[in-house]
Amino acid sequence: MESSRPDSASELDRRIYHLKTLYDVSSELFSSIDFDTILRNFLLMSMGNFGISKGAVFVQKSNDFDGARLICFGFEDENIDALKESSLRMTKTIAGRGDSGSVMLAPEGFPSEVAALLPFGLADECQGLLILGDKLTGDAITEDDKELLITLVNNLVVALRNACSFERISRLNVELQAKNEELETTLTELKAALRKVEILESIKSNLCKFVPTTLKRIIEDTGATLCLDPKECDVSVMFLDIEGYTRITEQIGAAAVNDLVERYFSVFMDAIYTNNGDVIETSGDGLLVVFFSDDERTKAGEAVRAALMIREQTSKVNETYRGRYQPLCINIGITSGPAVVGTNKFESYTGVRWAYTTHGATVNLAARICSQARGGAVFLCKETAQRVKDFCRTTSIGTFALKNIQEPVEIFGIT
Amino acid sequence: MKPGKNEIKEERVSDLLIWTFKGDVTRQTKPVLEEAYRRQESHPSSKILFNFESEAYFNSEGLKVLIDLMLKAKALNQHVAVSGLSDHFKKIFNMVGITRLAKLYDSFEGALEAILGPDWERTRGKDGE
Repeated sequence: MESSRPDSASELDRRIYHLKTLYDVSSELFSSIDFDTILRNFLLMSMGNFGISKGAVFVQKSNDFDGARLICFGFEDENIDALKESSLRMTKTIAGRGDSGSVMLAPEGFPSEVAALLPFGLADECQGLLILGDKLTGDAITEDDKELLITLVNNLVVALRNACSFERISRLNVELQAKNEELETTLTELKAALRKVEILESIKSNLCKFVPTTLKRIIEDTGATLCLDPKECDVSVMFLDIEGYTRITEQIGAAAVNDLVERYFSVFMDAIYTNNGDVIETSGDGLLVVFFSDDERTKAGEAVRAALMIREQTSKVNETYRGRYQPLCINIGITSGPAVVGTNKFESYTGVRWAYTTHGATVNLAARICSQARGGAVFLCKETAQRVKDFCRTTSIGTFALKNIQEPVEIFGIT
Repeated sequence: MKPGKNEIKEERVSDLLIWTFKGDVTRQTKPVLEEAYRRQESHPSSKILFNFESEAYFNSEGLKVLIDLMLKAKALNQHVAVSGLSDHFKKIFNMVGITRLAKLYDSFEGALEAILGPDWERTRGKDGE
């Protein structure tokens, strides 16, 4: 039977083996990114290299017991809690003291099998401890052993830091992925909403063609809080119609009259809207236009200016149709005073129909005064004549009994 | 039949259990050795001989695996012997203290002769029949 005596291990063999261990440990540690795997592999290789049957590695990730990890081999089960508690106390004691990285004897409190400790720091709030039992040989840890242990632990620290960084990056990636998914969902919802907005815009732009400008503005300004309850306000009202409309229709036919109305009323729109008027209603040969400016004299003046422009434009259009059609006469009546402006809501089983309109004595009077006009005349009520007297000369043309109006009404013409 | 890489050939001669292992002894070896040890626990031999190849490499984790098995065997009063190591690893086994747990022999035959006696070939042949 042959056996080697302890002193026969040559220094060269020992050094070669330690170098090989260093190489193996480095290769093993950096081939994994799992925190526990790195700790376990490091511990097994270190224990194997030094011939140690009991060993542990402790890492305290935060300042409490739950954040601590202990991986150990060879210790009795009943000693493990004591080992963990002692390690936690130890890492708290050494944190920030700067004595990491040196091999020391186990202080009181550690199980008696613990021969040496090697604290190490991973980060400010993360301390670790390598715990080693006695060597199988019974020899003490030598200076050479310490040197190798410190080098191995330095490798461990780098590997653990890499693992922590990888964990953090992985976590950030997961968070980023979740954010991306949220963004993608939001983008899909936004696209759907945008499509709805496009459809609604298209509907709006088509519907707006049939809606008074005043109403459009109110809807855009008030949005979801839309409240268009009818309310009384001061307005100037212009009522105009085509003289002899029924006769002309019979003479040239409804289609030709429709073309004529479009042609004439189109140029009237410029006159109306440049003077801040709004077409509230149309009815074949007539238009009901309301002027809403804040100042009473301003709105009356705008109505009169619009009427004069319409008269001028009518003459121009008449010229273009000379020889083809008889010249049209557009009669206009203008009144000023209170009127009810707002929506009327008609509810039925078939749905709800809304109408934006204005009504009241001032509106009725405009229609009646207009009916008195002939040959393209512009007639005003007394109130309107009063309001525009500073920039426009008016002449009373008499007092008239108008249909469904109790008191005779004085009418003014523009001279 | 010779074992393949990372395989154990198991042989019982009298009260000796022989494990002939081919390949390096590293972490990958751990399950093979541990399984072999578990298998013999139902009929434990009083002596175990680990027979390695002379060119086998033992990394530090492989040594830890051997140490753990040998400590288990020691706890059950099983005598452990090792043969086939290179001179380098004989020194390393000595350095890390494995020689406290197992006797090292230069050769497989030398180990058998020491454990089974001078008639080991006959004993082995008879048990093998």
